[in-house]
Amino acid sequence: MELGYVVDAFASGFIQVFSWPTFGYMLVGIAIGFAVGILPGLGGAVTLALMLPFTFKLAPVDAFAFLLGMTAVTATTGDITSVLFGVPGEASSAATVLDGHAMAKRGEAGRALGAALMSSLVGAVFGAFILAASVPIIRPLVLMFASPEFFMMTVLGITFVASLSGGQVLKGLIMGGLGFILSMVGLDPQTGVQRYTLGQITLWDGVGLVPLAVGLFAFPEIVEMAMKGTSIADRHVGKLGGVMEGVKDTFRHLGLTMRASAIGTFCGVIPGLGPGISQWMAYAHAVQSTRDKSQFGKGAVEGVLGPGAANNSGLGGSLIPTIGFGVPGGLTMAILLGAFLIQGITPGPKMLTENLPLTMSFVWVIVVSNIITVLVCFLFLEQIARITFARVGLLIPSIILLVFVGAFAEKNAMMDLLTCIVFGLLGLTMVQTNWPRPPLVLGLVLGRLSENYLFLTNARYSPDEWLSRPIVMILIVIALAAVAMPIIGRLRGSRSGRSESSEIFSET
Amino acid sequence: MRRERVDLLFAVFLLAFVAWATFEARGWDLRARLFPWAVGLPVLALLIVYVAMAARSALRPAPVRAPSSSAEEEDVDPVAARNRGVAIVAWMVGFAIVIWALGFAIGGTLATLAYLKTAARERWPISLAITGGTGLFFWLMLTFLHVPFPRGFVIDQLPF
Repeated sequence: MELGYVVDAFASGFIQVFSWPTFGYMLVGIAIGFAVGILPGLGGAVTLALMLPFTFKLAPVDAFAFLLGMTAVTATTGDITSVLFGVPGEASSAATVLDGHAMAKRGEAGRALGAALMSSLVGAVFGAFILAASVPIIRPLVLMFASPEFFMMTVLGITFVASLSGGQVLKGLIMGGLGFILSMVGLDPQTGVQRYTLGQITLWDGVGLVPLAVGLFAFPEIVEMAMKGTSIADRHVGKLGGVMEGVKDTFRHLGLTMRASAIGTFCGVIPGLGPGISQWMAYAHAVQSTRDKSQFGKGAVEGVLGPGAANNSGLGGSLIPTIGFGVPGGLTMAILLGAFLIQGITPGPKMLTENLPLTMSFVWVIVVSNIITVLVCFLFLEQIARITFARVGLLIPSIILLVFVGAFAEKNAMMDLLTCIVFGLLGLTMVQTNWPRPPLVLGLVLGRLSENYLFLTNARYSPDEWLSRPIVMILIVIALAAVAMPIIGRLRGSRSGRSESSEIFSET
Repeated sequence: MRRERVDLLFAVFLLAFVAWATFEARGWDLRARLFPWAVGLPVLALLIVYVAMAARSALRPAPVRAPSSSAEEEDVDPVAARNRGVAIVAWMVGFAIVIWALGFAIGGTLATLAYLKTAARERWPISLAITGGTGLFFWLMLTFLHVPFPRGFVIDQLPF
């Protein structure tokens, strides 16, 4: 492919995005995505599906500017409720709750929001430009991954359970295992056997991630708010709690932000992974790469930067297999493929040749929509952050309703309200007894993927064949390193006599 | 109850759950039970180890410890804080029941007003303003996003 043609298409995509009415449609998409991202549970995928019918009569570039503009900002604005209320606005914003909300309770809501938004912008731009840069090399890259490599990616994700548990490795492994067991609830994909469904049809497709996540994280926060009886923030911290401090944090820790963006993009490229996993991998990397780990779980800004960058960079990554092969990276991309069908466009080689300007317009939509969203947020963030100083009695009913709307909206099932309450009570108990919650969520997300890929791998390859594949071997080495590094670090710390904080998730 | 004992009870509960999950899989097809056993048996072993450790901690004399939550750290009366905690859990369950019975739009709005007036003891103007905002929110969700909120069990039983 000629470089000149690629550059022309890049410039043409830029011009298309800023022309009318494309720019107008993108702004409408941004506005809808902004509102939806803030609402827990009513996520990007659901809204994308709801908006598809409105794109029938639009030109392709207008339709995708509208849809992608909406999708691109939901992960950004999902971090807002995670920080302010401890309620994940999106499933991909759960990791931001851990340190973002802790910062808000310290009166640093503005700083946390500034860090989350700016790292989201950096991540989105990173992912978008990786999409642009990967155009000449998409096919061989994605074709190198088969079921053994996908299985090893899930194993790599599992090794992060140890990092996410800090010193409480035993508790973390138990919770990760519990998450795996919960992932098996439903119809077994290989045999159709009902596993742990308790005779309930609503459990045939498993435990919902959204009701579990909002219950697990939001319930304890609501209870703590009510017990305090005052406001979310404990104290005013002046300029330190301000938005610009958070923006500066992003650039002070630019290396971490860029690495987290790379993690998010990579997970986006691999079908089936995505932001649900990348946020935790980025969080674990932030923990591993920071010298002072004592503040994680209590308001470390690095714990906001990592997930913030990762959950936004994944969109650009997930568009790579979607555009290049018509293989959706996840649910959102699967729905976006519907938009391709509506527009009469076939994903594949034509998107990289005669439709390359359209592909490049996707890049610019992701970049421009995130810039607009972040600028708009910055105008109002100081005011939004003041919510943390309002009386909790005024906020609690709205937060409870947001939690239940979110729990319901994933599958439109009232049963998920019960799921939310059950896991809410579980989360409450876990906080009181100091058990880490992130490994449970990670186990739930990884468990089903892991089982499916393991079966496919064993069906197609002998153990010798798949264990000797180059990428598999590289991933094994990385997984072993991910397990060994925290242990080596702790051994070194105890030998040198330093007392290392051993409870990253001492949440009480 | 001491935290160590609550931790022990919780660990015993988890042990019972994982044991049940592992035992439940015994009658399934081999492919269906392979993963549950591959995960369940090691987790069971880890839990047995943890329960043993937690039992030892629970039997030791109680240590002096720092406050366990920010509510305690802020000199909030622990009895009052615990009562508020129990009350809010009851309210959350109550919200879910009312929503199930009357639907999100009606049930959610009424539950909001009930909470603001009885639990939060807010004045009428602000209570009505927030309740109105809640109702408007659900109307927007229904009208523009077409979120298929169910009508509620009780509403469904009515003849009209």
